[in-house]
Amino acid sequence: MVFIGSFALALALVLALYVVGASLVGARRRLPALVDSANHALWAMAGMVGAAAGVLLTGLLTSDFSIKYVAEHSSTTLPTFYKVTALWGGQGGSLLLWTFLLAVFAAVVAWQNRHTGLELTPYALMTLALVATFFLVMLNFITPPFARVFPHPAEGGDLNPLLQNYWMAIHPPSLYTGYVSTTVPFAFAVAALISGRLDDAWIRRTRRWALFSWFFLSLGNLFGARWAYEVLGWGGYWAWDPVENAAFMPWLMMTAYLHSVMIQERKDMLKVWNLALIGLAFALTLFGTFITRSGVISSVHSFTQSGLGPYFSGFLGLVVVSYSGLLLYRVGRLRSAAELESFVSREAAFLFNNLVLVGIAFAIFWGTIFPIISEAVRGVKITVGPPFFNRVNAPLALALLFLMGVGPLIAWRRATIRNLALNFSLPAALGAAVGGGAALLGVTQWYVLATLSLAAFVLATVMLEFSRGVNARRRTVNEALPRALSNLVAKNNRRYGGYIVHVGVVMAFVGIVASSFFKVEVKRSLGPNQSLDIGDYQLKYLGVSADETFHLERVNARLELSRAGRPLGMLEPGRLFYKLQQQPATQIALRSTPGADLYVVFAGLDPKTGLATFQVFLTPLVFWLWAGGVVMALGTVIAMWPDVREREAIARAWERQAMGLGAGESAGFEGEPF
Amino acid sequence: MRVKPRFLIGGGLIAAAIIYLIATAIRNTAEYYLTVPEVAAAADTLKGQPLRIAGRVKPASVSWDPSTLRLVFTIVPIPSASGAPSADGAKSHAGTAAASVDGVEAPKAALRQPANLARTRGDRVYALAGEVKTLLDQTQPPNGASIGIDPKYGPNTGPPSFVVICVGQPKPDMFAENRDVIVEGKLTSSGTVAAEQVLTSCPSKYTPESKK
Repeated sequence: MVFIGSFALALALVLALYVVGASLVGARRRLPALVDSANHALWAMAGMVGAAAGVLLTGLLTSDFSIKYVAEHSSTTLPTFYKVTALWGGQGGSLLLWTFLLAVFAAVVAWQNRHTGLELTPYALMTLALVATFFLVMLNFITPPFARVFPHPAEGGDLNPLLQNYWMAIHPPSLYTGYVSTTVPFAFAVAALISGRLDDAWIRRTRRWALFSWFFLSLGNLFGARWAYEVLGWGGYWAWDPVENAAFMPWLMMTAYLHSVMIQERKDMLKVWNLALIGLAFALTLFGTFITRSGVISSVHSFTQSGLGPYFSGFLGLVVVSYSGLLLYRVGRLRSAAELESFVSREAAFLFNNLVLVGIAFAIFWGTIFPIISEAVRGVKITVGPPFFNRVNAPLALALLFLMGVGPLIAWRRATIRNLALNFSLPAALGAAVGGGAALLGVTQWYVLATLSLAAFVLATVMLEFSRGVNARRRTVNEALPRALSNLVAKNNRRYGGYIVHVGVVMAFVGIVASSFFKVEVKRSLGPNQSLDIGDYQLKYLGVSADETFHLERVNARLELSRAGRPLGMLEPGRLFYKLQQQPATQIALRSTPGADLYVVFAGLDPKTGLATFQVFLTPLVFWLWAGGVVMALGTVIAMWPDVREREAIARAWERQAMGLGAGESAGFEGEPF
Repeated sequence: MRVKPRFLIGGGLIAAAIIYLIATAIRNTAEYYLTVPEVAAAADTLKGQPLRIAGRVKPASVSWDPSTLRLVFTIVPIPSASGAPSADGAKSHAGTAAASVDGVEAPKAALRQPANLARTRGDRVYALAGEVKTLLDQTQPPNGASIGIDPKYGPNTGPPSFVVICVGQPKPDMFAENRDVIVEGKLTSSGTVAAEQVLTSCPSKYTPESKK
């Protein structure tokens, strides 16, 4: 059984190497049959990696402790659900999952592009297979997931309790999906550079992949934040931890990329910039993995530290150097005909948005690696914490929010005063009114005022766009309001999906700002029947109750919650003790409402005095961060939705391209069986 | 794309603004991340500065009062994992072995004699072997090197340590004797550390090799 797993991984490595060679030779010598065989080999490789993942999963489910990985990350008492998630609870397994996703994506790319000729696709597949080769070398030689342990233990070491949580079940796969799928646009960028086909074909062909990647990066970050919120028990969701930063930076790059490719598609500008952005996004996913696994920067999220650091940094260096080399080699042919005409134009707004996003990513990168730099340069390790990141990113984020309102409405090329007045007088007035109103209500922090004001501004621009579109449909096609709205979105899904994402971002913004500025915290130890006040809530401690499963022990504190004298039921935060890992953990009690979250941590029970220590947070509007995440996801799905017209347009473009290549050759390729 | 100079200037201004933001933010928010011996070595200059100190909770030094949320403990150096003989917290220079002098068991610190003091470092702990002469002789140390021995971390009093006082925070879940912690706070003039936060790092807990 275990032998099958190792064998499948070895075979996958051989197949990956074959794909690299066959696609390269097939593309260079124009041999469709060889490229086809590379496709088949890629599918076989995906099958092999899938088989290996299946074997490891079976080992986890059957508690086969002769496999070292299973013995270390699972146990017989671990609930079945977490036995499955233990697949990514450790080093070897998470790399295997990573490789599996990469193999599946590569196989899908090969399938999607099986009729698209020899110009770009073989090089893209070669790049994907090269990346897969690196991970397969890791899996075969450096951290083999099927290493045996002899004699095998009767009981496993159990999964880290912090990972025994349902957010941890979905957070890593989402993030990995987002990380890994950036490889696809990157691979096509490499293909464009190698082949010299430097128009926007590579962008169009991977537009949906880029959105897919962005979607999962967004979800992965949000799930991670939610996990931190529910499990770590400190009342916050984001601490600018190196690993959080590592997950956030690719997201920023992909956000910038998704916006700037629109400019290339429409205006044929920013070609080098787009190629650089996707290269950076991919490099940052590798950097993220490097940070998480190398332990060079300490982090609360580094659950899988090991000696993989040098390999990842080596591979990262190789990628950066060779990609930069390719880019430099082609830079002379990447000149654009169009040029920027005015600061007050949509092109400029998008460009500024890109600069700000990249600036935020750079600031985060700098803050993350600052301890290493300062140690190397000055011999002292100097760390920068959340104050640094908040201070730098707050003004940049406000600029971004402003540009988010400006970008979609401002005219292309050069906006006139008339255009500005027509589009922005209403949103600007609304923004000013909201900001002024908040000030009158007693909000004094300028940052909060600016956020509220800009949030209203952005929402107003989105509403304006929707109402204009709907009104146009009602007038011209004579549709009723709901139908006009759904048709508007369905027929322009990229555009209106994007606007919906913007609404989600605004909601998240408001949630983040309100929860950062107005969070209230009370820490107190209570004896039975004593109570504490927070806001207008009152918590009365009644006592504890204990229970036990064979996996863990739990002590719950019983707290009676009331608000302004009105009873609201019981809250039962708990303290857990995981028996196998001999490790305590906390289980928060949460009462979440759109207005505010009441978050209770049972921080300790003193055996001598019987005093129970509680840490209680009242966080206003944090609900809207999560709600905004849902709206962002919805908008992305709408923007990704298959679009028949677009597909036909791409198919026509491929045909034209194939004709240009020579009818005989492409006909032969199309007719090839596979 | 040919870019007009004014757009280059515009982009340059944005880049400069971002770099300015980063630079000022670093200047205002940076914290020194130091180990216990490093803090001990530079205690005078570090007083009042925001610090992050990595160390280990000394056994039998913890006092916790839940009614006032007052946690007091002593932080000692983390033994280095590099195999150096430094069980009591002193890092030793490579190649110098611990030795016993005159039948007295020397601590596992680098052994130095007055003649080779020149290459010592201020943040290390050394055992000094030699014959004590009159004060007059000591004012003229060989090689021009001078040495000040702080009794706090001299060979007989053990490794450097600090008393950490943290008030108003619950005791972290993973906090225990012999656990590695990161203390965020300031060194007070009395030599104790006033901590704003005590973070428990998860040391070898997740690396299976060291699981007992």
